[in-house]
Amino acid sequence: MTAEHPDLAELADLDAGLLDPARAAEVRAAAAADADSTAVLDALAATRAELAALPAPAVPPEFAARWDAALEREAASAAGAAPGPRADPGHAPADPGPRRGTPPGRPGGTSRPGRTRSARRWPRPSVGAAAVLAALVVAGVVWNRPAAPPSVDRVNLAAVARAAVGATDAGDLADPRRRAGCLRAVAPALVPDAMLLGGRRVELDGREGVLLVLATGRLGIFDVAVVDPGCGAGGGALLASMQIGG
Amino acid sequence: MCSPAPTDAELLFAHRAGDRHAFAELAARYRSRLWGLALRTLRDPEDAADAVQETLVAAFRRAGSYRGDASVRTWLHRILVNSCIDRIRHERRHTTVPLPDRDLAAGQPDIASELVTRLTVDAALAALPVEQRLAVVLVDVQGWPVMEAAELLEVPVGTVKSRCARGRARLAVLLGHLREEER
Repeated sequence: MTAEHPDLAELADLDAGLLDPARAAEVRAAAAADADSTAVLDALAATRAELAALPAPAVPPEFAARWDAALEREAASAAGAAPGPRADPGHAPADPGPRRGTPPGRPGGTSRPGRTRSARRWPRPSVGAAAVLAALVVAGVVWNRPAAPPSVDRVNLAAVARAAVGATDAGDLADPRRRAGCLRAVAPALVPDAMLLGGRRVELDGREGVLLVLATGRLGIFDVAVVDPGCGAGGGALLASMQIGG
Repeated sequence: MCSPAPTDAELLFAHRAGDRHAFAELAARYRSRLWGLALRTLRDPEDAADAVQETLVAAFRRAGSYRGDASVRTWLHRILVNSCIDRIRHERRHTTVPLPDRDLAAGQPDIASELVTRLTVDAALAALPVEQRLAVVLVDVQGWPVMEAAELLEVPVGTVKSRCARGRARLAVLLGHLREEER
C-alpha cells in the first residue's frame, strides 16, 4: 500500500472508521485522487446498502409454537418448584427441553423433557428435578410399580397435572384429531385443538382415565382434563377438568 | 388514556417477581430479531430454532442473574450469540459455503461468469468467518450501534469495526461489487 494507492484493507478500514484522524485524512485524500480507490469505496457503500436492505426473515410458525411450548414448560416447572424464576445456576447453558424433531403439538416428543440430546449435555438444575419428584411422591405417582397408572383424586389433581407436563402417555388421545374430537364432544368449554403439553394415564376415583394438560395461550396457565381412554369424536366421559396456574 | 408499554427491564423484573405474563411479552418483542440473527449466523433453520429456544429458556431461568449492566436487549442477544458460537465451534457444523477463491480472484471478465460468481447476500454472509459474520449482521443488517455490538460481543469497539471492515471487503467481492484483481 502507498499513500497514492491505498489498498482494499486500508480503504475498508477508512470506511469502517478505524483509522486515526490523521491517517484517515491522508487515505481519504489519496482515494479522492484515485479512480480505483473511489470505486472501492463505492463498492463498500453498495455492500452496506445491500446488507441494510436484507429483509428480516419471518419466524416459521412451527418454530414459534415450539418456543411457546418450551416457555410453557418452564412456567409449569417454575410453578411446581419455587416461586419466581431461578437464579443463574452457573455458566452452564440451560436445558431448553425438546427441540428439533419434536412436533409442535407434542412438546414431549417421544421422550420426556430432560431426556433429549441437549439434556444429556446440560442437565437441568437439580432443584427442578427435586421439585418434580416431590410432586410425584406427594401425588402418589412414584411407587413400587411405576408401570401402573397413578391414582389421583380431585385434591391432588393439580399437582399430578403439573408433573405430567412433558409426559407422553396419552394413548390414543395423543392423536390430535382424536383428541380434538373428544374434547369437542365432552368438554365444549375447552379449546379442542389446544396444544397438548402433557398426557398421562391415571386412575381417578378408581376409574381409568387419561389426564391431558393443554396450553391456553397464556403463559403459566393450563387447562387440565381427565377423560376416559376411549374418548373420541363419537363421545366419551369427562371425569374431571380444571385450570391450573395463573 | 393508555399507559405506556412497560420497558424491557420492567418486564424482566416483573417476571422475576412472579408475573406469569411478563416474560412472554418480552420474548414476543425480541424473538423475530433473535431468529434473524440466529438464522444468518447458523444458516441451518433447525439449528437456529434450537439456538433461539435455548436462549429464551436460558433467559427465563437466569432472569435472576440480570444485573442491569447491559440493556435487556443486549443481554438476550449475548445469550443467543454465545449459543450460536458454541454450536459452530463444538458441534462443528459446516456453516460456510465453499468458495472457489482462485476463480474469484481471477475475475472472469465476461458477464456470464460474473453472474455465476455473484452470490446472494445470505450465501455471501455464510462465507465469512463467524466473527466477521456476527459483526456484519449486527451492525449492517440489524442496525446495532457499533458500541452496543461491542458490548454484546464482549470485544473492544475497534475489534467490531475491524471485523466489519474485513467482512465488508470480502462481501464486496462476493457480491460482485468489486473484483479482487482490481486491488
